Amino acid sequence: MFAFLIYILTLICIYSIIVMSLNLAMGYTGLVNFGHIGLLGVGAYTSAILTTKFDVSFIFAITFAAILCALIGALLSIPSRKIKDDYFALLTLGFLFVSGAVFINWTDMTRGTLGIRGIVRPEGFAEPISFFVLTFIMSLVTFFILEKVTNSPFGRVLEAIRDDEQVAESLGKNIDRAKMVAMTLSGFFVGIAGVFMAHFIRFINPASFWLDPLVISLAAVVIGGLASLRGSILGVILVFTISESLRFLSLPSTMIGPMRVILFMIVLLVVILFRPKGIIGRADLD
Amino acid sequence: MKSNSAILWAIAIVIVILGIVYFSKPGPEAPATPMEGEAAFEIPDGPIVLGAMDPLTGEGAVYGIPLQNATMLAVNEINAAGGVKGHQLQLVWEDSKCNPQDGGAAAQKLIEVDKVSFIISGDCSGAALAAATLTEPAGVMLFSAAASSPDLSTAGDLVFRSYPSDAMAGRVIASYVIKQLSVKKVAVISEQTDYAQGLRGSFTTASKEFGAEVVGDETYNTGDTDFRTQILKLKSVSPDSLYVVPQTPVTGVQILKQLKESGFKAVILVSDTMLGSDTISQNKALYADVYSPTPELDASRPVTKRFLDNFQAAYDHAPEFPAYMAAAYDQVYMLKDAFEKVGIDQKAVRDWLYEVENWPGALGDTSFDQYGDPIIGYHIKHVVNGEQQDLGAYTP
Amino acid sequence: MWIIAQIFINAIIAGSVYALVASGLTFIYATSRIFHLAHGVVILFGAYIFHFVWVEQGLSPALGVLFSILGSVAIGLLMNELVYEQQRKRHAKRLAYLISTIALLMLGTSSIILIFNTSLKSFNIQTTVYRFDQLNITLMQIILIVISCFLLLILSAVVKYTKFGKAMRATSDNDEVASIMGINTRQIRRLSFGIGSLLAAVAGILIGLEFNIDPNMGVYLAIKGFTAMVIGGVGSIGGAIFGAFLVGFFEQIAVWYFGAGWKNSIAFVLLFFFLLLRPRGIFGLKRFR
Repeated sequence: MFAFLIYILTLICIYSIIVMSLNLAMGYTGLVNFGHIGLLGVGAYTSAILTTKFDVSFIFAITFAAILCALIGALLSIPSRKIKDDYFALLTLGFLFVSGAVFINWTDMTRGTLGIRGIVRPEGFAEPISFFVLTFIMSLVTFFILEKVTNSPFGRVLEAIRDDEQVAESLGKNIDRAKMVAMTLSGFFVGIAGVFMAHFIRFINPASFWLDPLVISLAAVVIGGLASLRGSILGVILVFTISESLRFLSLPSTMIGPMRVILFMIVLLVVILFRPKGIIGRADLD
Repeated sequence: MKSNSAILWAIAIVIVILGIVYFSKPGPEAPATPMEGEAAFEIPDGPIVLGAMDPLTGEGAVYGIPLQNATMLAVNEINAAGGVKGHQLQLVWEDSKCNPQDGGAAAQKLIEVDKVSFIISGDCSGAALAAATLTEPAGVMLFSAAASSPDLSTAGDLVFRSYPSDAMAGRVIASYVIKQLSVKKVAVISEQTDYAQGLRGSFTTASKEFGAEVVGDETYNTGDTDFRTQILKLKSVSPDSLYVVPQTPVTGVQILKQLKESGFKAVILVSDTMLGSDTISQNKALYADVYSPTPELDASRPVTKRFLDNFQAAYDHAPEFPAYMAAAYDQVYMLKDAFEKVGIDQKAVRDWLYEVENWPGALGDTSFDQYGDPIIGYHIKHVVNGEQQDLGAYTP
Repeated sequence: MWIIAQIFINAIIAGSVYALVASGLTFIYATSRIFHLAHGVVILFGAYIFHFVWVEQGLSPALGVLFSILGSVAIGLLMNELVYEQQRKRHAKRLAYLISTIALLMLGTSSIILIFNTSLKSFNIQTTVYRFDQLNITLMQIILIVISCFLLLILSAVVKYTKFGKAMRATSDNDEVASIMGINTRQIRRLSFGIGSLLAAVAGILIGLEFNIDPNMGVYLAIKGFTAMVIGGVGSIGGAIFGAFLVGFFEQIAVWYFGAGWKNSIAFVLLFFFLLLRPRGIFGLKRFR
């Protein structure tokens, strides 16, 4: 039981980073980035390729991956000037599709659908416990940095943009720059999460970065609450608790899989319908 | 302040839920530590609990659920016949969703919570490879019926599979079509999945080796339904033979249909996922003249006949993927035989599997190589207007 | 030369399927402003019910069509009443609809697996193939193209000339003003969900007959339909149809020149350029917000 808990807790920490950074874009700034999981994949693949093919150190790989994802995040923010809301979501979903196509088709680097295996954990952190501690520290660091950012005057600019872009602009705020900074930070942290994901699971393939993790992350942001980092962590914990405890329901074996998804989605719908703020969100879905 | 109390609430709820889960359903007792020596062993009282993981949702469910049915059939038969030396087999199912993260989580849960020593799986290679990174250090045996990636051969000492690696099938059919049917120009159309890409790789490599020219090499994405432009491209290079490699018969049948409509003329080869008898009988016109390599699965063998008949009786239809499902069925019986001979110690079972020779399974007579991959002979099947003809064993 | 012609034919076949999906979505989007991704599973339900009634129960295909339409419309309306209308009462943000439609999509896909299981469902239709030199097209495909063109023409007429159409356009322009003018916007939304889901059933039946069905198709159909709708111009049936053919055409071109790996991305590349350069879409009635 203990090692299983550690496994789930490590996943929870990694997902906390993913979801907090998604919340920075989605909850604080109002940029619904469906390409977030694409960025996660870019981070994971970059680090996996660098460490398995080019033998670079974990520190170098994580730095490189994070900076690359930050740059892509910045690029993704550019169209948000003209393209908003659902359309931005659709466009960033396009980024997810394009990145997925790159993972599948750039076979020289990514081995295509066969995936990359033999990814090792950084030295000294090979044991599940020590790797968990490392991941935990990383998620705390992410939390404190993002907490600082969102509580700063800059954070209030972001929320002003989310609530009403025109008002924010008329107050003399440089909204394009603010959005770009938010997306850069979001990309930076999700890149780090990707690196941790790759080195935790130790095997990645294109299917790891497709629609499933996107649904999980969106659900966690919404259940936890928009514009609340604590909410995001809570959301991840709840999402994992729900979906993991559904493992323990005794259902007929052929029903287990679909029933799990069905129950999970019903919970999500109930939250959206009856508590649109999420558990401790500050911004409302209403 | 309000948010802090909410956090406390949530943490409390999580702890309570975890507590309830933990105490309400304690994992089955871990198997007792094995006895020294091979002859003396004892199976602890109560059922033998095995872990099982299949893709039960998502795109993999198309074969995950049929494989699960085949596994359940074997388990139910064994239990009805008195179990393994009086011990019933009990399976704990997990959904691997065909992806590494869930495959890992499923394996970790089976290992740690259910304390199983054996995991049987009808899983995609991605999930199986992720699971193998956890089962191997934990000393748990992973026995796969469907993961066909060549990478799995070297994934660990306790990793076995009952279905041959992709490396073989592509080679067998390339050799057959080039040497026996004197084909000069070959082409392939394959789905973007690890299984299909493995076959495509071994087919193209072998074709070049046997002196044929690979003139066309098209792919398509999982979820595509329209292959007309790929077919058009293939038509424009006019190959003598085309190898169709889908992940599931759903797309495979679709390709055959669109090939027929486009008036494509070539020797058509298909991978053995396409040999489901239901699939063929529903689409007789499309299987006008098709070759495929497949493990023996000879219905005249009593074991194979038993599998096919019992499956039909239990589920009211023929197996969707006969060869894979036979492998899943064999897995359970193989473990049963091993348990009866050497007990439920993973290492002893491993050694027994390495030593076993020509074990009579529904899939064929099985032995294992040093990687834990089965050595099973291939037959060439020729399907003419929906009737399967066995052209006999073929070795490249 | 025949190759270009055949690519064009292929594009028209793919395009008519996308057009059916996109036009259903357009109806729904015009009045409700919801990116109804769950439309994908409504289509699948239509296809599965048709297969169940006709092939598995052996009843007449007409009955299959009837049940399929009834089933899809019921599911579409249920989604609207139980989820979207509840959210609308609370003046939910657009993000909320987006999340709930994704939840409905996942819910629907798993329900289909649970109810109909995952095995291959084929209709096994033998159709005549017409060949002109190297070119070919089947009767089934011609039927598909004709039915979708016919339906879409009728629908455009409905939108243009009927009272309902006018009310719908008013709601689409500004639902507050529309309701002040005495239009029951809720009723209009219901109707548009009904019509959209009816189109979904037709799309499902035709897709099933032409391509067979599998439970995971829904996501892809919905995404393709959406890109087509946005490219064509939101709120315009004609635009949705044009967008659908454009997506179909560029996909075939992408497969021909770059390989199928990039097929699903090409719609988004198109979308990107349209959103940036011509945000109204081709025939868009109004600029999106």
